[in-house]
Amino acid sequence: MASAITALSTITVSNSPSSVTFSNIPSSYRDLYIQVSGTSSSVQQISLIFNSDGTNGNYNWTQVGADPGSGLFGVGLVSSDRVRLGYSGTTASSHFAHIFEYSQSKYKEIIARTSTSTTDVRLVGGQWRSTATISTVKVQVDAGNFVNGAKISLYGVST
Amino acid sequence: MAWSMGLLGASIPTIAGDAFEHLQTQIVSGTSTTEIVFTNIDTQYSAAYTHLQLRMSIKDNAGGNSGAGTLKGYFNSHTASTDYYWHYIRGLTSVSSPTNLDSNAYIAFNNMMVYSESTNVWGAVVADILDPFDTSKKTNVRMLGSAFSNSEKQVMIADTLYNRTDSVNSLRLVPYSTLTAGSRFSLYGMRAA
Repeated sequence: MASAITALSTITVSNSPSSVTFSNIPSSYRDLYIQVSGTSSSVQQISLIFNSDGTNGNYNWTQVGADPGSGLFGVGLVSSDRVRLGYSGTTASSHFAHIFEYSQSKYKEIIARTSTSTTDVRLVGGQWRSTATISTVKVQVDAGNFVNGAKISLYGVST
Repeated sequence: MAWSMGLLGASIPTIAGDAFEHLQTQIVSGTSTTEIVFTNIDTQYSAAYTHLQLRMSIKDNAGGNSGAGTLKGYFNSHTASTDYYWHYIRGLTSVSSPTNLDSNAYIAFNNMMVYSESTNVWGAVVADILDPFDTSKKTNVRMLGSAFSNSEKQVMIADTLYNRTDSVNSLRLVPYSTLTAGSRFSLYGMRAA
């Protein structure tokens, strides 16, 4: 039986970009999965933007997390122009995001987990309010840059 | 190919090759589906797989409510009030709330069934079913879920203990009303080394 996971693309960052983009994503999988492993130039949120849609209000997200200082916390619902996955770190961080039913005529649901050595761990729920098939995913540092060597990988999940 | 995306929720290390495989998918058509059942799970899969994963995109035809309800899951038709124990943490519109461990008569995919008023919106769930065929231990179900209905928007992590050591041979999933056409239920298996 074939693997249900296919590695579609991995970008190893050079030249300290503020974002990377996966384009021409095939529509033949059921779900997508993104893994971000690496650091950024400052502690910033990592965000996803689909099909270049930067319209404020087209995304919702909420986060729940914990850190050593404040314990359990909730960020609350945010209507936005992106889905924020939680903070990157300057020493280490990782982000994992499921993108459900990306080629179906449904709003796209995102479930993500984040950890960073400098602040906290978070669970993230997100939504892109579009029924369009996702063909591009931009992964960005909201205010800063990826540090060279960061790896951002895109996978397809088959049924 | 090797990857380490932590697919099983939190901390599974690098998974080799074809260790994660698609087993079955059921996609709802029509408007009268009152349950989804996976049968003969042990019979078909226990020899090859150690863990299972259930991935769902779910919506309920119930009207008159812009929120979201609970999809109930049952292993082996067990429905007693102490057959399951669960607790969770969730992020809501404005607060987060942890819960104490509590007994239950079902696996609660809580507030993930988006009702019909929320057009185009579906709940999303990834549930890892850990050691479902090991009769020396009780099975755990670890769920990550997200649902952004018109009035209830949340993300949740929950863990449910199946309070028996029985090997899991069936899984029945029951919505509040009927399932919306396009609801998707996919079962995956993870091989041991």
